[in-house]
Amino acid sequence: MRKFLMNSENRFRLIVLIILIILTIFCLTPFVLMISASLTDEQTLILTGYKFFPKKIGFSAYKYLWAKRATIGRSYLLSILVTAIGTVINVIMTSLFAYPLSRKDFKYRNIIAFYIFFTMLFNGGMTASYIIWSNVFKIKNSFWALMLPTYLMSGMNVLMVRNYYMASIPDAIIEAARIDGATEMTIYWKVILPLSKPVITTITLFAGMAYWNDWVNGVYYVSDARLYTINVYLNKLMTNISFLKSANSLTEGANLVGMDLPSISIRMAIAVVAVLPVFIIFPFIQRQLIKGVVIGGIKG
Amino acid sequence: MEIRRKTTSKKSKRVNYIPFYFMMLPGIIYLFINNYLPMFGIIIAFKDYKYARGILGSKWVGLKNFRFLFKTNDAFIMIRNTVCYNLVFIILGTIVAISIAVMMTEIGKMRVAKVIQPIICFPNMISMVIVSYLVYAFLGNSGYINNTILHGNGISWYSEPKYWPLIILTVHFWKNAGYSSIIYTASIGGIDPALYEAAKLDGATKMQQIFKITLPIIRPMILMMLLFSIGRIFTSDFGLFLQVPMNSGALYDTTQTIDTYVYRSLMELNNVSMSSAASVFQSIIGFILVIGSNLLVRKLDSDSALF
Amino acid sequence: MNKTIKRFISILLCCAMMTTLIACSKSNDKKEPSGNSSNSEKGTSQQDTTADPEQEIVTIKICFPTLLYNPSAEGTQQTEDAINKYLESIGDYVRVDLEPIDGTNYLTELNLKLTSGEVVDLFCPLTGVELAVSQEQVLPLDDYLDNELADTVAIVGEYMKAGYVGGHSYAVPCWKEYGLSCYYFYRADIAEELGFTEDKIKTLDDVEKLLMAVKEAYPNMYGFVPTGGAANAGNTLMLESVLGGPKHYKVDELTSGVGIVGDDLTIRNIYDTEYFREVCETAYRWNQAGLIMPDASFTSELGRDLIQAGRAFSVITGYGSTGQYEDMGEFYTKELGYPIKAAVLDTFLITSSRCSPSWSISYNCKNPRAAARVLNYLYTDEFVENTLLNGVEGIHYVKNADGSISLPEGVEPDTSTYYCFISCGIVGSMAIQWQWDEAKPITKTIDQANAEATMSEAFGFAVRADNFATEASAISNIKNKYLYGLICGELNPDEYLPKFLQELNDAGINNVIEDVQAQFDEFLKNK
Repeated sequence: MRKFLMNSENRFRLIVLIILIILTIFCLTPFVLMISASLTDEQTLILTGYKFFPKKIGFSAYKYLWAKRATIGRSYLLSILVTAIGTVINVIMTSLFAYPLSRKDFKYRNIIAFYIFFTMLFNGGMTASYIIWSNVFKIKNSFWALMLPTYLMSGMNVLMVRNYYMASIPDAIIEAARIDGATEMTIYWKVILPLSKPVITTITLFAGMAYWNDWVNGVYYVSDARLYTINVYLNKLMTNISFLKSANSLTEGANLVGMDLPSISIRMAIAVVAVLPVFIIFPFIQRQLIKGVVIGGIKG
Repeated sequence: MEIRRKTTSKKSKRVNYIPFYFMMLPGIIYLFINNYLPMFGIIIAFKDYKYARGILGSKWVGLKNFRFLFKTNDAFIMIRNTVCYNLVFIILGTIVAISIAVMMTEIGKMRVAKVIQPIICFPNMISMVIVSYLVYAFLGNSGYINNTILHGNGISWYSEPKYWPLIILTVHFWKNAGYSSIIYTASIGGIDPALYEAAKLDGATKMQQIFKITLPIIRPMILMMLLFSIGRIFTSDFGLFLQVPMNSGALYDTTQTIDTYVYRSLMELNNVSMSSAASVFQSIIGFILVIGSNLLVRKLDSDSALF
Repeated sequence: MNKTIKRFISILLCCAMMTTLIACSKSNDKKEPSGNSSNSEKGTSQQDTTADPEQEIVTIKICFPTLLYNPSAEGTQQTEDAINKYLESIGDYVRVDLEPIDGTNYLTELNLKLTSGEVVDLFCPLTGVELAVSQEQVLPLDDYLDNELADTVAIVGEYMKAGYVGGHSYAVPCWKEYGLSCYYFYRADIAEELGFTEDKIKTLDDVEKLLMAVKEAYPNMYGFVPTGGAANAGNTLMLESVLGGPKHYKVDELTSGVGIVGDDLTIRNIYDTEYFREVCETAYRWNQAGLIMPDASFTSELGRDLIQAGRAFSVITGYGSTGQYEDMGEFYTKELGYPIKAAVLDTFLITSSRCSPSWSISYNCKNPRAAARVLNYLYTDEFVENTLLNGVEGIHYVKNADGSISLPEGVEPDTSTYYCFISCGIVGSMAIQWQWDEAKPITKTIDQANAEATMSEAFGFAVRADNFATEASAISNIKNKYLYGLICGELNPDEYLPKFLQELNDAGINNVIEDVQAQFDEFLKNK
C-alpha cells in the first residue's frame, strides 16, 4: 500500500476517486429517497414524512399505476422508438453539418455558423412554432409530431461537434487524404468519423436524453392517447392529480368519491417509473456504444 | 514541386465544395423550418394581439407590451437575480464541469468509471417538479433536516430568503454538474496521448500537465460554451426558481427572476403579446452581449470565435 | 461583423417572415378536415325541430375539457355517432364533432387553436368572459337569445347576466348549483369528546374555541389545515371566503384586488379594508397559537389527505348540497373513515366570476346560429347532454333500476374508452344529468338552491382591463408575494400588511380603482 501511495500519480488518482465517489453518493441520495417514498404507505408518508427507509411499506401508488400498465407499456415502447430513430437522424445530420464548418478553407463557414447560432438566441415562441408545424406541415396527431419539432437537430450540438473536429483532427490528415484522391464524403466516413468517437457518443447522449425527456411536443401536438410518450403521459397524470386536488372552476364540487388517489406517494412512483428503467438499461447501451471506453473518454 | 501543388489545389478547389453543400443541406433546411419560419412570432411582441384579427391584422403598439417589465418595484431585483445567478452558474459551473471532466479522464480506464459516469448524469433526468418535492422532503417543516439534524431548533427554510442562494446553487449543480462535464470529457478525450507521454518524460507533474496541455487545447470549447451561456444570461430555469422554492412569497427577494416574474404577473392576464415581449427582451439582450463577447474573443484568439 | 453576413441574415429573415406571413394568412382560411361544411343558413330563424328538406347539414365542433381520464378516439367517435344519429332522428340539421381536451392543458391548447385559426366552434373560455371578449376570441350571442337559445335562457334565467360584457351576451354559464356553502369539516368524535356539540359550532369564534381545546388535548395534531389553491399559486385557509360571505362582510373582488365591500357601491382596494385586516389577524392569531399547520401557504399535503391520515382535525371547503348528500359530513365520513361533521359557516356570495365555466362560440365559427342550436341542446336535451358526458349506453355505461348509471361489468375507468369524469357541472345543465352509481334523492333542486343564494350587487358587471394591463400585471406579482402568506397566517399583518398596501399603491392600484369605478358607474346606470 505504501509503495502504491509513494507514486504521485497514484496519489492523485486516489484523491480523484474519492472526490468522485462522494459526488456520486451526493447524486444518488435523492434517488434513494424517491424510491423509498414511492414504496411507503400513503398514510405513514403523511404522518412521518419522507425517510430513507420506508417505515411502512405500501404499494398503493404502484397499484394505481399498475392499473394503467397498458398505457404505460405502450408509452414506453413509443418513447424508445422515437428516441432511437430521432437520435440516429439527429447524430447523422449534426455530424455531417459540422464537418464543412470545421474546414478553414470553406469560405462560408462563418456565415453559416452565425445562421446556426442566431437560432439559439431568437425564438418565435410556442404559438408561432405551433402555427408552422400544425397548419403548414400538418403534423398534428402523427408520429412526426413527436420527432420533428425542436429536437431533430440542435444548433448547439452542431457547433460543439465543429469545435471538436477543429481541435482534434489535424489538417495534415485531411490534406493527406485529399492528396490521395479521396472525395469529401470519403474523407468524412473514413477519416473524420472514426477519429471523433468521443464527441459522437456525447451528442448521441445529448440527443437521446433530449428526446427521452421531452414532454412538450406530446402535450401540444398530440391529443390521441396512443401517441403519448412515457414522459408526456406521466407528466399529464401528475398534473391531473394535483389539478384535481386544487381549487378551480373545473373541479369545484367534483365528486371524488371512491377515488383513492394516493397523491403524495404517487408523485414519487411516477418519477421512479419514468427514470428507473433507463437506469437499468443504460449499462447495456453503454457497453454497446463504447466498448471499453468511457463516454467521451480517452482514445485507445 | 510548386507547380504540381498549384494544379492539385486548383483541381481540388473546383470539385471540393459541392459535397459540402450537400452535407449541410438537411441541417440548413431543418433549421429554416424549425427556427427561422416561426420567427415571425416575434412581431406579436410589438402588436396588440387580438385573436379575431390574427397576427397580421392586429394593431402595432410599439414598445407598449414591454412596459410591464419595468414598471414594477421588482424590476431591479429580478434582473439582478437573473444576472447574478447566471454569472455564478457560468463561472463556477465551468470550473466544476472541467474539474469533473479532468477527474473522469484520470480514472477513465478503471471499471468503476463506467458506474460513476451514468450516475452523475442521472439527476438531469428528473423533472424539477419532483426535485422540488425532494427538496421539500429535506427542508420542509417535518423534513429530514429539521427532524433529524436540527432536533427542535428547526428553521423555517421557506420563509428565510437568505439561505436560498446557496440552496439554489446546490440544486442547480446537483442537477447539471455531471451532465455539463460530458462535453469537456469528450474534448479531453480527443487530445493526443502522445503529448502527455512527452510531458511525463520531461518530468511534468499532474497539475502542470493539466494546466499546460489539457486546458489550452480545450480552450476553444470552453470559450464556445461560455459564449452560449452569455447568450442566455437573461433567461433562467423556470422550474428551479419557481417550483423548488414552492412559489413561496417570502423568498422573492432572492429567487425572483425575469421568467418567474413574467409567469406570476401574467398568470391571470393570459396575454400573448406581453409574454412574447418578455422573451424578445431576453433574446435581444443576450444577442447584444454575445455579439460583443464574440468580438472580444475574436481579438484574443480568432480560432475560438463562434463566427 | 462582416457586412456580407449582416446582409445575408437580414435578407434571410425577411424571406422567412414573408413566407410565413403569407402562409399563415392563407392557413387562417384553411379549415381542418372535420366536416365543417359551408355556411348555409337557409333554415328559418325560429327554433323548430321539423325537418327542412332544403337545409344543409352543419357540423359543430365542441371542444370540452376532461379530467384525469382521456377518452380514446374510438370512444369519442362512438359517442359522436350516437348523438348524430339521435339528431338525425329528431330531424334537426345540426350535427356534432366532439373534441375532448385534457383539462390541465385546456387553456393553452385553446389559445393555440384559436391563434392558428383551427375550427373550434363551441368552447369554454376559462380565462373568464371579459378577457375572452377583450382579446376577441368569442362572438356575441344576442341574436340567438330569443330563438335558438330561448330555452336555455329560460333555464339559466338571471345567471345569464354573468356572461354579459358591455351590454352584450357572450357566454352562457353552466347551469349548476352556484349557491355553495362554506363547510367547516371537523372530526366529530374528538369534538364531542371535548364537549363541543353541533349546535355549539356556528361561527368562526366557536371554531377558534374548539381549535384551542383540540390543541390542548391533542398537541401533535394539526388543528386546522389549508385547502389547495390553483396550480403554482398558494393555498388558502378559506377564511377570506367565510368572512367575505353574505353573513359577514359581503365582498366581491372584481379584478386585481379591487372590488366592492358590503352594500357600499364604491370600488375600493379590498386589501385596505376592515375585512382583510380581520382575515389576516384571525389567521395570524391562529398561527401563533399553533392551531394551523406549518408551511400552510405552500404545502402540497392538503386537507382531506391529512384528516384521513389522522394528522389533522379540520378544514374548510366549499361544496354544493343539492342531490348527492343530505349532509356533507356524511359524505366525508364515508370517504375518510372517521366520523366527520359539517358546520355551515356561511354561503358564497354569488359574483360573476363564480359563474364559471361558461360556454361561448369562437370568433371563427362559420355558422354561429347552428352552434347556438347545439349549445341549447346541452341544456335542454337529456340524451344529448348525458351522451356527451358519459358515452354510449351499453358500451360506456349501463342504466340502473333507480335511474342512475354505472360502468358496465368488467369495465374500469382506466379501460373505458370514454370516461370523462366531468359530471361536476362543466358542460350544459346539471339538472338533466344522470347520477353515477347511486341515485340520491334530490332534496333541493338547482333552481331552488340558486334562488336562495345571495347575489352580489355587481353581478353581471364585467371589467374591461385593457386600460390597466401594466398595473394589473404588477399587482398580480405583488399578490403572489404577500397574499398567501397573509391569509395563511404566516406573515404578521402589523408588519406586512402596510408593506403589501404600499407596494400595491406604487404599482398603481389607484388607477385601477378609478378606471373600474367609471366602468361600474356606467354599468349601474344601465342596470
